[in-house]
Amino acid sequence: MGKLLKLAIIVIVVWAILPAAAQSINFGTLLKDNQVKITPGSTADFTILVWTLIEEEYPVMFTIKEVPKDWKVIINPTGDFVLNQDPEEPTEIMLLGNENVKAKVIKVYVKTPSGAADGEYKVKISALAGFGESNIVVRQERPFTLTVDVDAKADADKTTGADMNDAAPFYDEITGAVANMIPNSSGLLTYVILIVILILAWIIYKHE
Amino acid sequence: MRNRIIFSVLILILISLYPMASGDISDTQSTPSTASLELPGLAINQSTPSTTSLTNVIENSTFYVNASVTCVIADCGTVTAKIQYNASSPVPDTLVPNVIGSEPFFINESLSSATKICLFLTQDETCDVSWLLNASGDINTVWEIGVLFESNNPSIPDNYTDNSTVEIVPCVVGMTTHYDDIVFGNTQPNSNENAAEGNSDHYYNVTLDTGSCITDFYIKGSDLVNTTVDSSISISNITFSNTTNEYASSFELSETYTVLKLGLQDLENVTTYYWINTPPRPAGSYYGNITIEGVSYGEAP
Repeated sequence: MGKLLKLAIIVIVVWAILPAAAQSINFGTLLKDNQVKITPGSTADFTILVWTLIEEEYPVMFTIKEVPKDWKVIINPTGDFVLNQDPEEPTEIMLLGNENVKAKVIKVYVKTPSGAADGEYKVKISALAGFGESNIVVRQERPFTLTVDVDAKADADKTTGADMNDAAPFYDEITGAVANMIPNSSGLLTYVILIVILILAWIIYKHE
Repeated sequence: MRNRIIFSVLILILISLYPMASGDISDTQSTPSTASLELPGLAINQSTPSTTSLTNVIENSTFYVNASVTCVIADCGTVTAKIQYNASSPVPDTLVPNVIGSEPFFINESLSSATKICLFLTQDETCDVSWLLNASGDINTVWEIGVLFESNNPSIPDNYTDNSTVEIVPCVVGMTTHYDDIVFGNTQPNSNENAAEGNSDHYYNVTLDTGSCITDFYIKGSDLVNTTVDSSISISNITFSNTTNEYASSFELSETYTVLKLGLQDLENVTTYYWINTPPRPAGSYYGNITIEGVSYGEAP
């Protein structure tokens, strides 16, 4: 019994003096196409994938670091979000080695003013990953430089869909909402028709 | 009698409209499955790459295309499988070449062939096939890949797997910091070279993930602040080393990025060590952060 007690005390002491297991941060990123050619006044969109290979989840926040004057940048999702191995949609698969990794899709929309002169412009954003609560927190940062090539003579077909992109973020939200409503409203209408037919059939049957 | 006819017609309309309301109608082309096949045929499946999500493949890396075919209802004869991609149309229409260097893909196997033979498949027998492809095409190009199964028995119709959409992308930046904090514990004011608790265990590791570009690591920090006593400790009081657990080899941290290590290859690890020179400050907990940045080789932090 005495030996067991000593052993237990040793185990407790060793456990107590060991440093607490810290959380790892695994953070993978890919900027798919860092240069987009558009006409003045239209919107360029960029796609960034982010993923983690380990179980621990952590918050990620994108911020705008540098943007030409009078340009607008929208990052979707806005604010911070939690990144884990099963991120919220939209997602794509990133093949790393032979491993299929589910990556979260981040969209960046860069709206150019209609008076923008021809030339290459840089927009800089960054992603910050990990926000612990210790005294000295360790985080990861990843910078992204997006190049927007403004060309008044750009072939609209060869841009990223300049006209549609003008309202890309808003367009997505609105059309997304409408698109979600259409099948529902169509189905609802059909159900209403079915119920009306059913009632009519019942009335006719009863009045025979 | 007339009402009975009207009633019947209405019920028929009701039955015919039900699938629309329940969303059962689909205009997608169905592929045979063991459940739905009533005639002998090839039930097929492509497991990788995904047929439902876009798959990003790093330029010049290899990936497997796996598919399987099951012979249902009756024997299927000799079955061959052909891997195709969409060279000239929206759907796979061309065999993936087996010549090294071909674009956008080539079969990266020693005895490579776009056609593989399953031999004679009897009823309920399954054949698995796979190809190792190299994504040799241009970055940011998107392709459709699928497998065509054919039988030498003319009564067995051909069958295609669903297509996989593959985008060829540049190398990525992925890294693991194996710690999310640095602990110095309690240090005395006006004391120097206080080692972080994990130094002796070589605890503070940063590793570059597989598939990553050649990457540069940078490091920076923020001043440590105690809002309760309204005091701060400059980040330059913290030093780091990327080589040895010796204070003499360390460099001061600053609020702007300084090099941690340049030109790392994938899976390469850097062990870091930290010390703090505690200035004469009021006792209390001080809070700050250290940020490690990974950028492609040669890019500015």
